[in-house]
This record gives sequence, structure tokens and C-alpha cells, in this order.
Amino acid sequence: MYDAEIDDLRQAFGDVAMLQQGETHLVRLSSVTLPLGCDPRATAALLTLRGQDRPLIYVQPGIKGPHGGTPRSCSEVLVEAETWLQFSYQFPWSWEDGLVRFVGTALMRFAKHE
Amino acid sequence: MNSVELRVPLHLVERLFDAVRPLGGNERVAFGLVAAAATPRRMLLLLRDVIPAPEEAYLEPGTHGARWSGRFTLAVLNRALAESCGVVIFHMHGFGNPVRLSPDDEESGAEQLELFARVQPDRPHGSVVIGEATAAGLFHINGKLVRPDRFRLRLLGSFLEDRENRSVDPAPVDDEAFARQILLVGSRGQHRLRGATAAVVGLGGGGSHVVQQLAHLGIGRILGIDHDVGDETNRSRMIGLMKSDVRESRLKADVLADLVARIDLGTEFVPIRAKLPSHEAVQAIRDADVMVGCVDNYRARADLQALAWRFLIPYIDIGLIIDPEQRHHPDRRDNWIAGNVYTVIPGSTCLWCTGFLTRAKLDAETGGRDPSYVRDSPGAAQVVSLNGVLGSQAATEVLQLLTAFGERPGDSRLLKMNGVHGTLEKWAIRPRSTCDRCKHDLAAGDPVWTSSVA
Repeated sequence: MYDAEIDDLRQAFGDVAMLQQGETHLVRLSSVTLPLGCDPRATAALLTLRGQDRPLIYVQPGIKGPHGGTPRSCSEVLVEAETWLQFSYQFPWSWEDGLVRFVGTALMRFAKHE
Repeated sequence: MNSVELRVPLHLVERLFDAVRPLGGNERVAFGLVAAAATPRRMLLLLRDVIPAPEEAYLEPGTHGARWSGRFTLAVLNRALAESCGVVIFHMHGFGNPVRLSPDDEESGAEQLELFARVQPDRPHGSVVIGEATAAGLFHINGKLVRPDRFRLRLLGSFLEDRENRSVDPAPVDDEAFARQILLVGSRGQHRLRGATAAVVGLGGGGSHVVQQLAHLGIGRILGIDHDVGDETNRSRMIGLMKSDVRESRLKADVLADLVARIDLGTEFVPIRAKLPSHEAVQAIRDADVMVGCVDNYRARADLQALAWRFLIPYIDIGLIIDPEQRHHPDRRDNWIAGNVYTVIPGSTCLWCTGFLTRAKLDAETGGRDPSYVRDSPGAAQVVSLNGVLGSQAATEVLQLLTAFGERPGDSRLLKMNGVHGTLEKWAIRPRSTCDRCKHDLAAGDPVWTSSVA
């Protein structure tokens, strides 16, 4: 269902792994780059895709933001028995914009100094 | 891999044995589809389905043993591929203590496993023989044939029945401390306790009782999971919490480590100073034989339920609500102190089936927002003696699972406490055939990712 989008993600981020559970598609990106000042600079990310719903995005726990601390309003959640960091970041996006832009914009959440 | 454990959920136990019990002196086989999970101590194989060989699949037997058609094997392999599962062949011997794979079993098993591994290289495969009280297996794991030093076939029910690749005639337990307990559980039961690991999640008012009693029972290892410190408000109800601990802001996990050390009956307490669902907490739970949840929010319970089903670990959940404001309410004055002890056995009713967990309850905890908005309920009423009833029963549930001291049906069960009247009663619960969580999570093991490189 998301063949073209997965191709785009693969071109942009390299290794992509997938898992389907019913109608939900999980897409794991082995390495995405976080904004300057974050530690680590690169981490894994996870997208959950369901129909045309807005995707959910997670990153690996343990990120420190540019201020040196744990970003606010983030929480660890269990996805398929693995621990991921859920974060909220509102920005305008539609499927026409593509998943690569979605990932890139969402990760800018960690550029916040807070 | 020195240690392999194959777990059979409750609903497949009878089906498996019915499929492999010899008929008219002829051996019969069944294929199992398995997921896998790696833990620090062993490789877990989790049985997702049993596919008995139909009568028409059997060929004329050779000198001995069952033979079946390649067509049937192919059908099983196709299904394994579609579901990203490994394949295990089961059969039964009525002789041998411990039972062993015969030379023919070894030879044919190795051939079959090599075939399975060529078709489905990233999944573990096996050939298992089941005896009266023991079991043995040959496996293909990570690209090679493995004869594990230790193999265990675990059958889930009200009792965790283990059949291993060694004779089970334990020496009598020579420890005066357990002499009176052994009159109930027997030497075998005491050995089972000593060899078991329990994860206790939440080490406050409920969990501290559980830890204390499991340590007195002589359980081998407790993984105590909690990230919090004990404060002054905990002192009236957390077993083992001293004034000095509060003054020094000691973590609950460390307080209970000291308690277990003072009890000094051989239990190893491993403090996991972390909060569910952190990686550290999840990894600890995966290594447990049984888990006890003593948490105070539905989100944590949902995570524990998911892990219990995924890795086939029995889960005991305790909870207490004291609502003094309802004391004089005409409809609530008889039950404003309410507690529960759920024992959910993978393959039977889950907490979602019963309606104990619902999407609405989880959303209500966070106002529909993400889990970071879950807040503990620090102001809720709590009393040590009421917690103690639930904690004691939870420890008894663990005792039953490990020693089968009492005969009871193998299904999940619910005990409800009425703290006003001082009763603990069994309530009927039923599985829901349409439960999505059961379908999705049961025996799922580690997720299987399909890689794609640019």
C-alpha cells in the first residue's frame, strides 16, 4: 500500500525495515539525523501508518536536546514489545507532502531549547 | 545457545497432546508454528498454532516412526512463510526417563530442519519428542543445528508444567526453614520455587507485600521493578520502609533488596531501578517465569498485559480502590473498598477480554493525550492491611503456578475483594473470541522486521 512512500524513505534514510500488523504498517528507519545540539545526533525512528491517518512517529529513548536535558512532553511507550519515545509536535502536513518531509519536520521538535 | 524453552499457551496444550498421542501403536506427528524471543538466559520459542498431520498425509511407516507426505510439509512451510514463523515437529514416545530423540529421529530431524532453514532462514526450527514427564529437542537456530544443554517444554495452565531433557527426581530439600511449607508443596514444589524467577512491577503498598512473601516462600529470584523513592506517605504501608530510608531518599527497589537480604532464605533480589515501559524494565520482564503487577494505572497494566501475552508469561494483577466519599452512598456503601486479583494465563481470558482494560479507561487517564500525561494518584486512600490481603493472594497465585499445590481449572481467574465485608470471592470471567489483543499479541515473540536496503 505504501510502496512509493517506502521507496522515498529508503532513498532518503537508507536502511528501512517493515512490519505489518493487520491494517497497521510499521516502518523502522535505522538512522535519522537529529537537529544540531542533540545527543546523539543520529538515532533510529519508527513510523506507524494506518490508511490515510496522520502517521505516528517515534524515536529511540535517551535523547538529550540542545539544552542538555530530556525534551519535555515526551514519553516512553511500548510498540511491538520495544521501547520507543513518543513525542508530540504539531505542524501542517498532508500525504501529498510525503513521508520524508513528515519525518524531517517532526524531528525539528528536538531543536527546541527548553 | 545452551538453553531453549518452548512455551505452549493454554488453549493449545490439549490440542497438541491430542495430535501426537500414538494411535493403535503408530506414532503421530504435529507441526507447530513458533515465534521466537531471545532473553539473557535462553531462547524462547512460543507456540502460535498446532497443525496436526491429517490421516491422509501419513505414508506407510518404515521400520518404525511416522512418515508423512512432502505435500503436507510444503503446506506447513507455506503457512510458516506467510506468518513469519519457525516450524517445530512434535511427536511422542511412551518410554525413556528422560525421553530422547532416537537415532532415526535425530537423522530425519536434522534433514527436515535443514530444509526448513533453507526455506525460512531467519526463523528457528525444531524437532521435539515428548515423554511422560520429560521432553527433548533438536533445533536449528542462527544457522546451525543445536542440541541444547537444557531444553524445557512449558505447558501453561493453572500450573506451569515443565518437561525437560533430564530426569526429574529432585533430592529432598534439606532446609529446616521450609519443612512446614514442604508439607504442602512437596520437595519438588520447593525445588520449582527455587528455580523460578518472578518479576514484581511496582514495589509500593502492594508490591512490597508480594516481595516479602515470595522471599519467605524461597523463590529463586525476584526482579523488583520500580523507579521511585519511598517517601513519608509510604511509611504506613510499604513493607520494609524505614524512617532512615525516607530521610536518605532511598529507592524502593533498594529498600526491598535489603528486606530480602534480611529474610535470608536464598532468594536473589535484582533491583531494576526503572519505570515501565523502559527498555530495562521490559528486558527484565522477558526473563521472568511469572509476573506480578502492583501498579496504579491502566497504561502500565496494558503494557504488562501485552508483554504477558507476547512472551507467554502468566500475569497476576492486583489493585485496590478505596473511595471514602462513597461510604454513605446508598448504592456504594457495601462496596466502596474494592480490590481485585486477576490471574491471566496466556491462551485464556486476557484483561481486555474481561473489559478490565478498555481504550476509554486509558484515554481517561491522559485526557486522550499521549502517555506522558498519565499521572499517579498520590492522594488516593491506601491501607496496609487491605493491600496485604491482595498481596498475600498474589503470592499464593504464584505458589499455585509453580507448585500446583491445589487442583484448579487452568483458565484465567478473577478474585474480587470487598474490603467493607472482608470477603475475597471468585468471579466468573469469559474469553471474548473477538478480542483483537489476544489475536495480535498471543505468542507474538520478538517482532520480525523485513529489511530493505537502498
